[in-house]
Amino acid sequence: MKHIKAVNQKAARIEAWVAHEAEQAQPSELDVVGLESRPPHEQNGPNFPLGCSLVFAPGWEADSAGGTAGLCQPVERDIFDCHLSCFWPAHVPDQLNHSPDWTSKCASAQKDWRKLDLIFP
Amino acid sequence: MMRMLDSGVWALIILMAGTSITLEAQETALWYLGTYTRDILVWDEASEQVVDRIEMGHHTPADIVVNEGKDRIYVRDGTALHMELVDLKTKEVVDEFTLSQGNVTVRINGFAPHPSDEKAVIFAKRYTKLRDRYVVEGPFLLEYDLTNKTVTDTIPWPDDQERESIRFQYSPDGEILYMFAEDIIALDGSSYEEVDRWQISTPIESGVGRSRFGTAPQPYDEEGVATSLFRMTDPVQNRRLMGIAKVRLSEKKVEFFTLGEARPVRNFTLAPDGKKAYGLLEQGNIAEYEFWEFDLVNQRVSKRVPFAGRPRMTLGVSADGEHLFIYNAGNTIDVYDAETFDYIKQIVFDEDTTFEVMIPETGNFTP
Repeated sequence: MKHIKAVNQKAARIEAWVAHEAEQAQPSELDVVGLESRPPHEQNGPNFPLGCSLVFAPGWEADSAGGTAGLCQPVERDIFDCHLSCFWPAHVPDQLNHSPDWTSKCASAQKDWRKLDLIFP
Repeated sequence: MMRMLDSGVWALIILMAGTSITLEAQETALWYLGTYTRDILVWDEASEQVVDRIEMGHHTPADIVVNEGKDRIYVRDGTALHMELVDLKTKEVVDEFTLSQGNVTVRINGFAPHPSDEKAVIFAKRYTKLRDRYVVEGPFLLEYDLTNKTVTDTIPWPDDQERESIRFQYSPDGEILYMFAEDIIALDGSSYEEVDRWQISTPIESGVGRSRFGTAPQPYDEEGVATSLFRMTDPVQNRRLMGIAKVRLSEKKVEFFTLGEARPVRNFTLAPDGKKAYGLLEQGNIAEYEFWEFDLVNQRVSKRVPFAGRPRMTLGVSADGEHLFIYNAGNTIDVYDAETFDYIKQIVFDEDTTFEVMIPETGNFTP
């Protein structure tokens, strides 16, 4: 998949450099591990190339093993932590500035999640 | 028939007398549970009922600090912009303050009230919204006058090192402000000059590795003591060890004993009698949970029992020592028998909780 074409010499040199680096690199070095920070003894754990902050699916999360068994019980409760303590306002309303009372009609995530409203800026 | 009636009456009298004695002598604790609404629930442990609700002025009470006298709580809202003061006798909000004004937002990320409740130390960051950008300043350590609602001093950073997080607390008499950094630094409670230092960044004894002991007292710790589970590396055999420590902060003393190989035990919680403590073994990702019981008198692990558990859980002990509570991240508290670790029941609230703090109460209790 390539959508960008180099149109000047500098861009062509960057393109050549990136291609050269890719040839030299180990396969594991080409993984996208952005937004990940893990201690040295867990470096070989699963990768999540796209963290929950880049996915527009409320409550989408995976635990440190790549599954869902380590999430909240009930799992619906995770959405509240995205809202209150995670501070990634990409897929839930921004609790700090814009929508501090978003959960006012949803006291319990498991029972009342249908009452959560869409928020428009 | 008469004999039977007599014995029945006597049995009823004895039963009633027994009930009366039990109620009068019953020990309980009130739990204050923040929710994702404006309310704080007041839950009585013995009757297992929500006995009161405290309506806050701001949405989502997210953090709580209990004062030294245990008669008021300071509650921070979800935006970290407002602190509200709740009188625990009337269960009402009696005051509030904010450091934000106009285009300047100050988020309160740490708070420690002086035992007099006249001033507090605040750990905060300031965000100024300009036409084209935000200017972020801090973090700062501030002295705040709770009576006049003004910032009265800026507290210098320990060792001149600014930090993104730090824990601090006053001594019970308010004379000392402790800063918990790499070392524990004691500052004068008024001038904020260093008066003492406990160098916990170096081993406390020759031959043992560096260790970090807990310094925050638990609900059932005796005054001036903090009991905690700690880990350290045995430098001779290069292995991690686990043990239990009692820290007396004012005396810079620590009494500790080791239990053996370090295991992933968390939520160390002291029982009301101080002779036992409990912890939760949490390993792996799929339901590998165990209750651990620690015998503090004979200095050993006295019991281990697997149980269902939760991926995110906190452990509490009832005021009478008979029940264990598993809670956190939800709207339920699971109740277990503290002796057998058998599951008893689940308490269900209408609201998910943001924080839970329990304040033991001893004396006459009437459900």
